[in-house]
Amino acid sequence: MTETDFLFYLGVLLFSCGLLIVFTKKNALLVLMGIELMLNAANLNLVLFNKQQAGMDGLLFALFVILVAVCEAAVGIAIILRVYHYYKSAVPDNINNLKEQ
Amino acid sequence: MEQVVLYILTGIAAASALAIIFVRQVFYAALCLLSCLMALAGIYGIMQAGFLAITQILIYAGGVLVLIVFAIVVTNRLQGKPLQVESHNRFWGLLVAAVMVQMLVFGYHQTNFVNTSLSAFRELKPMGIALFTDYAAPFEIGGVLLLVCLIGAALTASSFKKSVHD
Repeated sequence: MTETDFLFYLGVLLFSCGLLIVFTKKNALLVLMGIELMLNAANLNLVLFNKQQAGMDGLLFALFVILVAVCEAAVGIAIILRVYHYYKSAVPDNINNLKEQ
Repeated sequence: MEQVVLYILTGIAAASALAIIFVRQVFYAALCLLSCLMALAGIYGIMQAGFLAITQILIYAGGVLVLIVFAIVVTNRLQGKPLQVESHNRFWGLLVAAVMVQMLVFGYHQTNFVNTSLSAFRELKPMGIALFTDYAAPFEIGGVLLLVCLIGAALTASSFKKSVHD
């Protein structure tokens, strides 16, 4: 097994872990962490396959992915805090009405 | 030597990613995510993407993880007990993850990749030049996006009860 294979399998593992977390966990913060994990798996693959060609498009793309991930995390956590204050719960299944009856 | 370090870091990243699934307290999950991200930064460093490694440490460990821990602490205070997390949809989650692994591995084996070594390659200077020439537009748009996001997040998180109820 070469290094490329090895790191690719690490990326697969990270991505599927993130997917599993997003699907199964009952807390919005954990769901956010799962999304971060998936973005990191994508980043790892971008860096890895950047080596397949000349240039550095993969590295720069990874940089922009990190930037967007930060924006997503900041806005996501702000929304989670807001929802938590209102519903006193961070379980996405419990939040099923837009307006208090 | 480099290979041994690479394998160790890969092991740390994989183990802490798996630990997030099984850990019950949200705070421990955040710590596992931190160790996973740090190990990934080390892997970037070994893969000669030093700038990305530094960015990863600065932004993820210094920014995102602090935000997540802060959110955990604040939500802790509201509930009064350590945040526990339960899981549901276990079967469907496992199914989707297994299908994803299958698809990715299958697609990887369909493609012929050149087996490149992790050769030395100076990336910092050309990266900086590319960021201000070919990638100037995405760079600027990214800056504006970051600003808009921070203002939006601050406005969303701050309490604006008065303006809503007046």
